[in-house]
Amino acid sequence: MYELPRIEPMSEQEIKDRAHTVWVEYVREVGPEYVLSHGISFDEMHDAVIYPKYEIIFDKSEDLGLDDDGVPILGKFLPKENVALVDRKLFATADPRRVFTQYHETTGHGILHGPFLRKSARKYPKLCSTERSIGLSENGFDWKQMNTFEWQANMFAANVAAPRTYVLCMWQKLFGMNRKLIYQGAREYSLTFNDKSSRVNVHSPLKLAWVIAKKMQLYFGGLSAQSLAYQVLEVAIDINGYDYGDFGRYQVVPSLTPLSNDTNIKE
Amino acid sequence: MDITFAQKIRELRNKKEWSVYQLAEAINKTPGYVSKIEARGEIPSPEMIVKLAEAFGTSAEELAEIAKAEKSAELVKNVTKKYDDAVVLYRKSRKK
Repeated sequence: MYELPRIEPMSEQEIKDRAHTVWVEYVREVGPEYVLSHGISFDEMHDAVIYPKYEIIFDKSEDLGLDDDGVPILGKFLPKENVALVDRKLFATADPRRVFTQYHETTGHGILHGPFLRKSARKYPKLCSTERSIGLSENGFDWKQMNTFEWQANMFAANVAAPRTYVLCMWQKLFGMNRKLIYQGAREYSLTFNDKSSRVNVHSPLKLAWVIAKKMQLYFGGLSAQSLAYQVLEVAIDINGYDYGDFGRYQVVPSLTPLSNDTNIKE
Repeated sequence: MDITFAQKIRELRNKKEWSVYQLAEAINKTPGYVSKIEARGEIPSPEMIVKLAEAFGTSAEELAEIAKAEKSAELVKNVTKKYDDAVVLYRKSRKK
């Protein structure tokens, strides 16, 4: 393994705010009506913002092979050349990690880390050569093994691929919701999607977010429901409203409409 | 083929010290259109090749030659692949 440069610390909010600017540029380029009706796609994001503004070239033609530990490399970013590579196998097999990896390499490492990495070229010459680059292997998806560098890239990529404002917009548009859904523990929930009601049994807030993400997925250019679920969880589900100690006080919310102005209903 | 059309356009743009946005404005197209040429390797129409040459103040013939060479190479590659696939299919059918 090689030593990674010490990246400047960034708060979660700071990363989200910077990702938001990329999203705003995208909407400005393609127009809000287009985004609302067609959704977000990586190819369009690349053509409208990632390449024109940051000149990051995206290459999906190479087989990236294995890392030092024998784990397949999914993507790489070459700072000096400003090229983001994603393993061609991800495209041949329609791997669900494909879209997120594209955002991770081009926006996470390319936009967020690119300038820093190029500045560090003198200090870390090996890093900025073709042989040594910032890479994401399959282990990169394991939160326990993730370093700050990858965590920042993931946080940035998630917020470009599925901006919270757009997730909220889809939550309102597709599910007719104007507030968060209160998670009330493992139980059956009723969801109204495109004016059709359905009931789902879930055992965790993330699973509930995943069910919602699965229905929204079409608007996020093939982003996996798993990646999208984390954003849905933040935007559409209120887990703090669930009183684990006194479950009986809460009413079932089958229609998903607010029971009262105060979400913490007290008897 | 020494240089691709995309590389040539990028090279000419960098020589002029233009951003993608400035080139897009010069040819009256969107930045997305320039991205498609420079980053996706798409070859524009002959009219657009002339427009690009005018914007850079370079020879349209030279740009057209590069575009032609790239298109021809792509065509040969596609035809070769089709024939190779056909041979594989034929051999498979003979085995049965």
